Amino acid sequence: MDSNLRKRIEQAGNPADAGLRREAIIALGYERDPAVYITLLDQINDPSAGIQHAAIISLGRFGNPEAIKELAKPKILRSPSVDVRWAAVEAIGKLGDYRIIDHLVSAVVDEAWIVRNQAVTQLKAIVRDITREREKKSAHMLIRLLAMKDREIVDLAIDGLHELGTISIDLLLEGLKSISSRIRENAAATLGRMQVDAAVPLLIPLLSDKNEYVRRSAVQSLGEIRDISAIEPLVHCLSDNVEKVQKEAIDSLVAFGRQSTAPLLNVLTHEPNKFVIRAILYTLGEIQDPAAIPALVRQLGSSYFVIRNTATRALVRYGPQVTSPLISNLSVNQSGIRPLVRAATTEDNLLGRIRAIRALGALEEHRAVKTLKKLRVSGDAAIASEAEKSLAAIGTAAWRRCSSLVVLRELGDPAVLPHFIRALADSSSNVRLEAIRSLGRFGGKEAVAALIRVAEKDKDPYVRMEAVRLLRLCGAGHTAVPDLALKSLKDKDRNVRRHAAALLGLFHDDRSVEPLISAMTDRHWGVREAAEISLLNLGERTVDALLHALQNKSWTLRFRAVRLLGELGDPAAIDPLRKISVRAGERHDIRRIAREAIGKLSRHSVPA
Amino acid sequence: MGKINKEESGWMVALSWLSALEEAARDFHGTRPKVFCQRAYDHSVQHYLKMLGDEYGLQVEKADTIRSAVEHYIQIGVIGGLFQDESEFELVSVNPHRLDITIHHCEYLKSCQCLIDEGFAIRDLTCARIGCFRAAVKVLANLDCDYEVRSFNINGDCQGTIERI
Repeated sequence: MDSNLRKRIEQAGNPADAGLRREAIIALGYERDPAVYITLLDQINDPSAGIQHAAIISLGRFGNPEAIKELAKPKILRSPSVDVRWAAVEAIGKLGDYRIIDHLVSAVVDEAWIVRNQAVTQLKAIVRDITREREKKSAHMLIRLLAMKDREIVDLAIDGLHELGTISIDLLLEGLKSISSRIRENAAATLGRMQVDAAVPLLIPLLSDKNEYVRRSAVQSLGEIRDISAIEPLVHCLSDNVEKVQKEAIDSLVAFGRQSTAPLLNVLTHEPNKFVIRAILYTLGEIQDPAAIPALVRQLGSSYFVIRNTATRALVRYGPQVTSPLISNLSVNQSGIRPLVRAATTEDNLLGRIRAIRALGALEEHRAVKTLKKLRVSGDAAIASEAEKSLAAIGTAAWRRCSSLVVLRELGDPAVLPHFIRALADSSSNVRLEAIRSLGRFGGKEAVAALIRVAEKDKDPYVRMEAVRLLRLCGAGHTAVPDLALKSLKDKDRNVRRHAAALLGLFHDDRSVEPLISAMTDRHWGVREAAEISLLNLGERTVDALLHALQNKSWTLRFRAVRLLGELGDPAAIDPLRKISVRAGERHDIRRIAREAIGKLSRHSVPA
Repeated sequence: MGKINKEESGWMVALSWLSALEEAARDFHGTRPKVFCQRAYDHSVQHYLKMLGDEYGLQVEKADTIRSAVEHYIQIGVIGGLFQDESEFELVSVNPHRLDITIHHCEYLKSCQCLIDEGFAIRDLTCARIGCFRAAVKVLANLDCDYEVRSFNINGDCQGTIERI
């Protein structure tokens, strides 16, 4: 041993100057003499964290793996000093091989970020080494890493196990039975990625694991392995209460393609839960097996809106092949029903009445609704019950026609336009509503003519309003539209009048001016407001009529006329407005708005 | 898993009932559930104000404009624990007959998100929050109004309008 080294060893043990002592310990880390190792081991037992820290760094540099067992002791790895713990993790990483994983794993949950980060970095390096070595004993370690919280480490371990291939399969299958839910989850994920058929019998029981992440992982893996024995269990997973598991089951079943159709349709026949039915319909829509079309069409008439809507969207995904079954869905019974209605109400024989009521339901006969409603409150319980069932059948049939129209609209084939027009005669206002929405989407001469007829004549004000609203979108350039709007301005429903007023604003038609000015006296604010906005759109052609309106006895009309004149910018309005602004007995707010209008007009008329 | 606290479970129950109501409205009224929902919101606001009175002696001031009615309702809602703070809302009077409302944090967002996920347009949302404001205007200012959602954002603000009819 040379004298310098001896001197450093002495300094390392000299408590007189902590600074010098630390410096000496750090310097010893670069030496290779065996005596140094003993000295450094002594120093890690020092009560000072600074000295411990320096000794640990040097032990890491010195490179004797035997130091690991000392560094892994709780007094070091759980030292109150962050620096000590951090240095220990780094040193252990430098000195050890895969056998140090346990120590690093415990440091991954350290309260200090810097220690955790160091542990994760070391673990990643070890996982890479293990994967390179391709030994089964190392695979054990990777399995243990599957229990980690850190996603990056787990992903590395999964990658490693995947790369190890057949060496790791037995261990992964064992992992599916682990008490750690994370190991079960990640072992399942790895086996799925490796597409290990032998895992299927062990993965299926995991579909009912109490941990949602394990269930989700098992579902995903079964979808990746694609063994047909997994289809039925996966269909049952559609009823999993956790949405993420349900979504994963949908994806897995979609991956099986048409093989899933029959089991899905089978469950659909008896499943009462709307969320499960929705998931089944969604899956069928993704698979697009034509065998499922009749079942999807039936669901268009569900009494649950959510189900109707999902079936609609699923059918849209099928494209033009569903057009024909949907069109046949739209037809309604045209033959006479009087004999049936008579039998339902007056037949002496109870059985005969019940049969007639059932027939009306089976025919989905909307014309019998009034009669059936009366029968529902009739004294006879059996009759009332049958009437109720038939009413439900008629109601849901209307929803089926509605939804069929929506699908046809979304498919966008102009050849079906006549069917939309025919549906305007449907007895259900909801069906007519969807028909006019479809016509509004298609536009064109025929559609606009049909919308005009509905806006004029439909008995449901909501349908009339929607027709007028849609004409604003597709009626421009059609000469009959302003005529309709002028008529609709007198509709008894305020919403129809409001939309009619707005519609008139799109057509620069002189005939609209007076009716719109009158509409500014409507008892509903929304109509008055729409009329004012439309008059503003009509521009200067309204000025004379507005000046005339200044004399009207309705103050709200005078107010709006004054305001409009200010906006329209015609200087001819300045004098009349001045008179209003000082007119004796005029309302204060009208005089004020007149002054504001004059201000605006004056600014307009100043020459540039 | 720990037990769910009472406040959270209360909101969960409220949301379940609200979603149930919105869905039932659509089950029976298809794409036009608004009339039904408006009536339900009318009942909800009237029950809520009555309960605040009966159980806590709280009285809500009447109003004469759309804006003041909504303001009074928000104030009583803060006292009643329905809202955290008045700053959750921004009110802008476009004119005396129209009030634009921005809602910074709405407890009912999830209910609307479900409808958006089902393919509904923003215009079709029946929005329990603005719907209840409309109902409050009716009960506190005796003004019949219509309302509409203008924008919806699951992570941010929602906007809507209350407008006199």
